[in-house]
Amino acid sequence: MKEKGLDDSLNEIVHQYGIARVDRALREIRNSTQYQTNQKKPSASNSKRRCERRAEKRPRKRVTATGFVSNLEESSEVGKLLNELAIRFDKKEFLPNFGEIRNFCEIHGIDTPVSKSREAAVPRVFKHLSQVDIQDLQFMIQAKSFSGPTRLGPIAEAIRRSSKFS
Amino acid sequence: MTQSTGPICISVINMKGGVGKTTVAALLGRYASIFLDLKVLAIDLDPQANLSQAFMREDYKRFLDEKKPSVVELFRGYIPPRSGVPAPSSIDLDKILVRNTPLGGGNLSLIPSRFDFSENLTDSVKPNPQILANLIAEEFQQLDIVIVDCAPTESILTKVAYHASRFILVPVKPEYFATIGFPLLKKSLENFRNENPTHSIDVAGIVINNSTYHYSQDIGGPESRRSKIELEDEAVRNNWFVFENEFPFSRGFPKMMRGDFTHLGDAVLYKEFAKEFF
Repeated sequence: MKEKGLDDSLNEIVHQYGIARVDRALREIRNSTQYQTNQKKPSASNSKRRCERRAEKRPRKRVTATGFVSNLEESSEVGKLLNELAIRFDKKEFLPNFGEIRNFCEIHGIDTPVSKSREAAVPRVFKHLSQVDIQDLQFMIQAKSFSGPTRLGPIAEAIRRSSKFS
Repeated sequence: MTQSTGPICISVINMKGGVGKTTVAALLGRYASIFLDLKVLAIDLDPQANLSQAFMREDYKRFLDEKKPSVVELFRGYIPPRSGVPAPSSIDLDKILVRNTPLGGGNLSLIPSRFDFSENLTDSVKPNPQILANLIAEEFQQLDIVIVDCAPTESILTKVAYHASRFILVPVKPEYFATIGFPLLKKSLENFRNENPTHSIDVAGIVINNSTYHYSQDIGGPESRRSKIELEDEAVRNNWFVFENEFPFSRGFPKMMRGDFTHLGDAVLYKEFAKEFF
């Protein structure tokens, strides 16, 4: 059975370190004596883990940015813009990783969330966005600010295009 | 820190390339805007436009595609005819300034550069070296800080930066070739002072970049130590201050310039330098 939380965390780690390094690290953990000993002995911590897993199996309500924004009472124009950003957030186009969220919080003077999950940052980020000027929201949407690290390809292509015109 | 007499203008200069001018300029601008709540103008005078790319990220692509105005048009003094506008038009600063960038925050505006800047300068009549100084005097008196990122060669753009500046900040790496940039800069500044005796321009200080100290351990080896000693000796001879806080070697710096804020490592130590600087 697939676990969404695990999938998300793994995707983020693989995105950051590359599949080969993650694979190597997992193999090293699997081969370590500590891991093998823990696997053999049923211990108090294992039973605690089983309890936690049972608790995890209970249906948990997933916080999405679009869901959060729909509960905010905002004027139709602000609500529309927030919804646009929320859709992009859920698609990982706006603030696509925790590093981006940390930078966003830093430049907007809001506390960085303790948990490194994007989901946990939703209330903090979107509550703040609901207080931002309409022009700034429009700018964020139009300029695709906070959409992740730059890649050389698109800029190199734009320079080539621009040279062709001139 | 708001200046009743206008903003403090600082140019980040070293005739040597690759010493970290753009990184230092970008991060000082970021610190002043976000952590000191100062109104900042960053000006990209380098035709390679790295400062613009650092602040605008992939939006720089849109800026090129949409042929938005830049420092090139400021130097030309007009916006050329384009699709839908059949005649040259006057400069609208609001259309040139880039605001609210993910690196600079809401208090920082940027005058972006374009890679055809040097071609435009070469092909045109020699530009007025006071063009930026005039612009700051007329349009930006309400700001706190103006930071100019300069190109790594001595050209008319160096004079443009000098005319606009009260202070010079010099990033340098502890490497032999980088140290040779020092006497060149001294000569260039002396020439400028002789030509402009009423203009006060001082070296605010030297910031050592790519410092080989890592968690208090010197990992640079004897050549790096020798270069650093020479740098410090030369600075003392010129009466230039050397900042105590250095930019350490860190892979976090190029990541930040790309807009990747995950695992910044020692790069976060730029704040210590910025605190000392301001």
